[in-house]
Amino acid sequence: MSKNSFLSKKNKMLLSDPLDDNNPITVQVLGICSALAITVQLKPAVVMALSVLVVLSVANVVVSLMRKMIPSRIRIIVFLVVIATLVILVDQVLKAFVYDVSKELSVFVGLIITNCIICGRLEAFAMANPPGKAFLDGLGNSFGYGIILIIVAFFRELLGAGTLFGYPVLEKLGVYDLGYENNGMMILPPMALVTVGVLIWWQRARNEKLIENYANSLDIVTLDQEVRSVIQSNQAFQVEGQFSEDRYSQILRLNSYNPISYEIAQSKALSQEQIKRNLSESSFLSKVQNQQLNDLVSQQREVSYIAISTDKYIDIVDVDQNQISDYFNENNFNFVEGRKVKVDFVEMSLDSIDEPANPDEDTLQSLYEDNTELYTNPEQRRAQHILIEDEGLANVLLVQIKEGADFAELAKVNSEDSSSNDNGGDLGFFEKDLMGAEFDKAVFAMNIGDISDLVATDSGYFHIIKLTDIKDETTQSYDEVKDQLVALYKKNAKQKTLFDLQEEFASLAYEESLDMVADQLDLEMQTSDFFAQGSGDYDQAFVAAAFSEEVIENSENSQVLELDGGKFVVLALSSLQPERQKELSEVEDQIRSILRNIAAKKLIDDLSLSIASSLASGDEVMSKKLLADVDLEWNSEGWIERSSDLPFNLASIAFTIPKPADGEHTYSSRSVNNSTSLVIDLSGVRTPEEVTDTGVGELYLSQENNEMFVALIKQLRENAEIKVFTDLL
Amino acid sequence: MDVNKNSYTFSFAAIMVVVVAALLSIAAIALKPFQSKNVLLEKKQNILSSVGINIDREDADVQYPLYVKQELVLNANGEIVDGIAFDVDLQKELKKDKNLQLLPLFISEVDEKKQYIIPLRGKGLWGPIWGFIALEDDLNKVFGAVFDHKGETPGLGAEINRPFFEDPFAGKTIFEDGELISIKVIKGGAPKGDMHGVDGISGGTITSDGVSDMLYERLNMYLPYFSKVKSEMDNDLNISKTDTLLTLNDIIIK
Repeated sequence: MSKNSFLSKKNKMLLSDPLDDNNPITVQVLGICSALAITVQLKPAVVMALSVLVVLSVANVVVSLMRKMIPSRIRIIVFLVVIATLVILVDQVLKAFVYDVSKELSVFVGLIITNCIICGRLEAFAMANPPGKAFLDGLGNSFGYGIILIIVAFFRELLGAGTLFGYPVLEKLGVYDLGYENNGMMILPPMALVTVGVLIWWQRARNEKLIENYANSLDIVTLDQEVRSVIQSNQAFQVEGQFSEDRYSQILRLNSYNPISYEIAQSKALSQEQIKRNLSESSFLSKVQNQQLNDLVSQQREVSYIAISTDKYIDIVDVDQNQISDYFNENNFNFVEGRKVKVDFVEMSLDSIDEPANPDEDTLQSLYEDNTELYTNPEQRRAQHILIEDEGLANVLLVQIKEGADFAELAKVNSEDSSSNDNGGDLGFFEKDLMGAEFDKAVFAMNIGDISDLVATDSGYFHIIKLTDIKDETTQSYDEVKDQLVALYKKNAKQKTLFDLQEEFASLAYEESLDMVADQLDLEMQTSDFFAQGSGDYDQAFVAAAFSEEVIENSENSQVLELDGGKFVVLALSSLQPERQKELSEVEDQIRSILRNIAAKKLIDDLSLSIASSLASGDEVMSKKLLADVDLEWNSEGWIERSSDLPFNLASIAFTIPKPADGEHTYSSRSVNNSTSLVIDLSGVRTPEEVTDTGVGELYLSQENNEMFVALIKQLRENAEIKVFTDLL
Repeated sequence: MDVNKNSYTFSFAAIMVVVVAALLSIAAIALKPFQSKNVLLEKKQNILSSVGINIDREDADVQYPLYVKQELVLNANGEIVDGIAFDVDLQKELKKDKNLQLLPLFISEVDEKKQYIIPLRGKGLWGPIWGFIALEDDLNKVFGAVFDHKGETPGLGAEINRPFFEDPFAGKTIFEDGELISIKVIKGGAPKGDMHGVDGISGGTITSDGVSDMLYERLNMYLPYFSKVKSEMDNDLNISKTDTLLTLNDIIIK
């Protein structure tokens, strides 16, 4: 552990927390027995505090060091052994070197063993943390324990005996002369409890954090454990399947969380989930409802349609000049040309790098050796196979083949591999790792002409394989690939030069003007045409950089952009053409075509509507005339489902049309896009005889739950009092 | 390694026990000489303290022989037997039958007067209590007393080793009309003028009673010796009277 992290904020909290917010005696209410027993006088209280300090810190470190070795079933026993050993050692050392103190402590050194704080810290902290932290935790908790002990002892000795550390304070102050008498009660154990009680009251009344904790205490206990277990079961925080505290904090750090904020976020998510879970158990769906939903989802409809396109009418409709100028005036905000820029840029690419000199033989030779795999063709094998799902049939075929039946013939008839059975099961040449592990294992162990036993693969199929040919691994010789090697060498060299230069390029571009950059690096400065934001004429990153704040507003060089094709580019603004309202003359043709489209669309909408209504009203003459006039035909789709893939999104439209009575038709018209209108004939609705469970019930339930949750949140929001801290805004 | 396997658990426990046992044994053996020295010095210090000589523990070795002139080991009949009084372990003696116990006795001289120092050992609330009571040469009047304990409650029973408790013993008497009354530690305080009682300690009643019992039992053991010494003293007194008379006679004769 580095020194830096040892004194981190979190580690400091290990020391400071137990002094107040998480005091073992007054907050956790542990170690009360010793707080009662040895607080009659200051001296034993101080010595006890020191002994606990030694025992707890060392025990914490010892247990932390052994934390991965201790079998969990006997861990408490191990704790007790560690503590007891330390206590005995401390007692022995005291007896040998500070005899008076050991006499003073007498039985209470032994009592440390039963001090629940120590066992508690070992179980709660040392078992899960590295020794350094465990040591700090031990110190912190001992201080927290000791300070309370000393405070209690101070009052008990002063008020009970009138002395401090045996020195008769009150007598010297002359308090007795005023008629004061020692309060013998203070010496008795119950008064220790009262004193501790007063301390607890004083501390909690003063510390708002504790008041809050108290209010939430029950929730927090259960929630913390749950959160903890959720976090610990998260694989991201595990090392070899075990939750790792180090990894946990490392990952949190990387994601700029700290454990506290992360745990709060987790606990919020958990409680939301819990509410949702509770809600989900409150919604239900009956069998009949479920059946109805499934029926609806699987419903089929018989549909035919006429599609009317604007194409025929666009040239017929007429648009006059007034309409055009009106449209222009109303919509002139649509006829604005965005700002455009023209930029200077310097480009550095492999092409701009000088051709390197030809390499010597040695370099080429070693390049060849380093890249032999590039010039090696691995071993290939050719095989025929029969693919069978049924193991029984496969075995029958295998026997037939072994008895001399024609492999190709059997493959043609029986193989379920449709891509190869026509060729007698021939798979052609293939390398390793293409056919799957089991297949490879069999094929690459066979000799030409061998026939495999059944080869089972993960997919659940069985193969019978016949090896028909082998192409050995071949490696092209150095001489054969020498030209390629030279090219490879030059490419690598240029690449390297480019990357080296790129750094210089970036720093120059940051400091110098663009022409200086071009000059220094012996590159050409180029200039673009004007282009608009979002233009496709140049690379996307290039356009974005040209319109960036630093280029347009600050007139600086852009960052070095890495474009496709290994190009590096820096650009700077050459000139800016601001936003401009277009003239009517520029857009007249565009508007005319828009207006024509609108008019044509209206025409076909009317037409489709009148066809549909004449059909619906049974006016066959009229409808036939209309159809004949415009030369339209019915397209029949037959029975369709909701999921059927039809032109004009017809399936979803058809399922919104009211259901016709039996034997009747429902005719309707729909506009489906800017250039098409439909006349739709719905001539039947049916439910298939066998409806499978489509899972729609669950979908419905989850949706309902979601709605309930949203409603609940909404209601909670409405009921909540919201206070705005204006002084904080 | 699976730390939850039975075999692992057992071997872990076994190894742990052996390691801990070894560690503690080594510590105990290594520290023993220091601890024994402390106990020895404290005993000397306590013996001196019972006759009003208060010194630092470190000086006990040097000071002790200056005051303690005789160390006797007695048997139950009050006869002097062979042995080193200082090494008699009362803890062991108390377990023996009364008639077989060895009784250590220290005789000191302070301001040219003889004191008989009797080691005490008894039971307190949590564990043993012990001490020394020093009698003046009349074997009745208490010259001084010290007490100590192993693990009495701090602030309560543990206060028996404090001067406010020990000092009042001096000047009390243990006999009344030739009968051993010993000295009682009286709960709630001894009445004024009580020659056989001292104030008890509030909250330390059981320890106080332990002190009373200890005093009575231990002093009782020394009665045979006391009567012997007293009769010897009477003889001495008679002899000295005779001497005086003789001298007077001589004078008269002359």
